[in-house]
Amino acid sequence: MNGQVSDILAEDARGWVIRLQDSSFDGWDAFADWLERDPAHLAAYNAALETDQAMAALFAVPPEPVIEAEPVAARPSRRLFLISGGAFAAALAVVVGWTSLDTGRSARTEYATAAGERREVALADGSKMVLNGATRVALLDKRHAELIQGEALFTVRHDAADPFIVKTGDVTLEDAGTVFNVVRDETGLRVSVAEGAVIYQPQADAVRLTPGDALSVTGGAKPEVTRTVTADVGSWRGGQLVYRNETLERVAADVSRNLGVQLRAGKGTEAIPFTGTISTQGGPGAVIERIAALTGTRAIRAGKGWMLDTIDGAPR
Amino acid sequence: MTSLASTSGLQRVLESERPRLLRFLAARGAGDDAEDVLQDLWHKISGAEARPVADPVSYLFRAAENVLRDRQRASLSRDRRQHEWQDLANSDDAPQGERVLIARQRLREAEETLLALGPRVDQIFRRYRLDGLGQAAIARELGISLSSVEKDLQKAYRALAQLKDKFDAE
Repeated sequence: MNGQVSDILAEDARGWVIRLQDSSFDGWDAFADWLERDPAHLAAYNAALETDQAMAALFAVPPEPVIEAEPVAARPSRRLFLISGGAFAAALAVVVGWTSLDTGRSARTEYATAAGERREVALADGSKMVLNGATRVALLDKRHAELIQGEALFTVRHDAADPFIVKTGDVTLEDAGTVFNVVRDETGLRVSVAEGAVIYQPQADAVRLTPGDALSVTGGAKPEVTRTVTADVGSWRGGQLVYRNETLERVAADVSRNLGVQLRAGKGTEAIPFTGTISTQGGPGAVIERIAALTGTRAIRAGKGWMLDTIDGAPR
Repeated sequence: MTSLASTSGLQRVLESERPRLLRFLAARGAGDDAEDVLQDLWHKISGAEARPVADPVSYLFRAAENVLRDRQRASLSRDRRQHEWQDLANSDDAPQGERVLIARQRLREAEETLLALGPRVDQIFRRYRLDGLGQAAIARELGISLSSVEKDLQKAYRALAQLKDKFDAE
C-alpha cells in the first residue's frame, strides 16, 4: 500500500474491520470520525480490509478429497457426500475433535455440540453419527446410542443379528440397514430415512419407515408418517433446511440449533405451515431475515435472540 | 429498541439520513461517486421484496459500505487490467491445479497459525469471521466477557495479517 503503515495505525484499522463485521455494529458515525481525522486512516482501513478478505477467502478453499476409511460403510457414505457436495466438505473443515465424558462406570460415552457447531463421530464398527448443533448423544455401547437432545444423522453399518438401536426419550428406533436423521427437541420427535429402513418402537407400534418416510411425534400424540425426498434427509449438513408443511415452531427450533442463535415463533405464528428450503449460509442475521420474508412474518429482537412475529401484530 | 421498516419505509429512512450517509461515503473514499452510491442503494432497496429490517439506519450504512466495496473492487480490477501488474500476470500463468495446491498449503498454514494462538482464539475466529456470529453471541456461548472475545479476535486477525505479509513476500 502507500508506504509503511505504522503498527498502531494498522492495529486501529484492523479493529474497525473486525467491528464492522459484527451484524450489530452501529458505530457508523464514529467510524466516519476516525476516517476523517487523518487521510492515512482510509488507506490503512482499505489495506486491512484487503488483507482480511484475502485471508478469509483461504478458508473457502475446498479441502483435499476425503478418503473413506471403512470399506463397509463406503457405499452409503459416498452417496451422502454426493448429496451435500462442497458445502459438507466445508462443514467438515470446522469439525473439531470430540470430547468424551467417560462416566467411569460403563462404556457410556457422551458427545455434545454447542448450538451452531457440528461434529462427526466415527464408531468402531464403521458406523457414523453427524451431530448438528445443540445436540447431546450418548453411546451406550458400540451398537446402541441415545439421542438425549438435538439432531443427528446416523449412517449405520447394518447387521441383522445385531441391529443398531437409537433410543430417544421413551422411543426406540431400530435400524434395518440405514441412513437416517433423528431430531429430538422441544417440539417433539422427527425421524426421516434416506436409505434402508428404521423400525419405530419395535416392541410396540413397530412402524417400519422406508426411504423417503418422515415420522413426526408431537407431545403425546400418535406418530404421523409423511413423505419426504431422500436427498433432503440430513441436508442440514450442506446448509439447507428443507420443509414440507412444517410448523414455524419447528423451523425456528431447527434454525436455533443450526446457527447458534435463539429464534422462536411468536404468539400466533407457531402453527403457520411452511413449505420450502432455507439456506443457513450467510450469517444468522441474513438467514433470519430470509425466513421472515419466506414465511410472511417479521423478525424482531427478543431478549438475547430473535422472534418471528405476525406482520399485523402491534409494534412494540 | 427495535423499529421496523418496509422497503418504502427504508427509502424514507434513506432520504432522512442522506446527509449522514453522504458524509460517511465521503470519509470512506467515495469521492465524487458518493451520490452515485446512494443512487445505487436507492435502486437496491426498491428492488428487494418487502421484508422487515430490524435496524433500518444501520442496515442502510452497511448496504452503503457494501455497494462502495463492490464499486471499488470493480474499479480496482479495471486498473489492474490496464497496468497488467507483473505479480498478477504471474499468478495467472500458474495452472489452476497448482494454484489450488498453493491455496491449500496456505490454508493449512493459516489453520496452524490460529491454533498456535490457542483453541479458544481459533474457535472464536471461526464463529465470528466464518460463521457470522456476533461478538455478544459468542461471549454468551462460551461464557466469557465481551472484551475477551474482542481481544481474541484482535490476536487472530493480527496473526493472519502477519501471515499474509509472509505470503506476499514469498
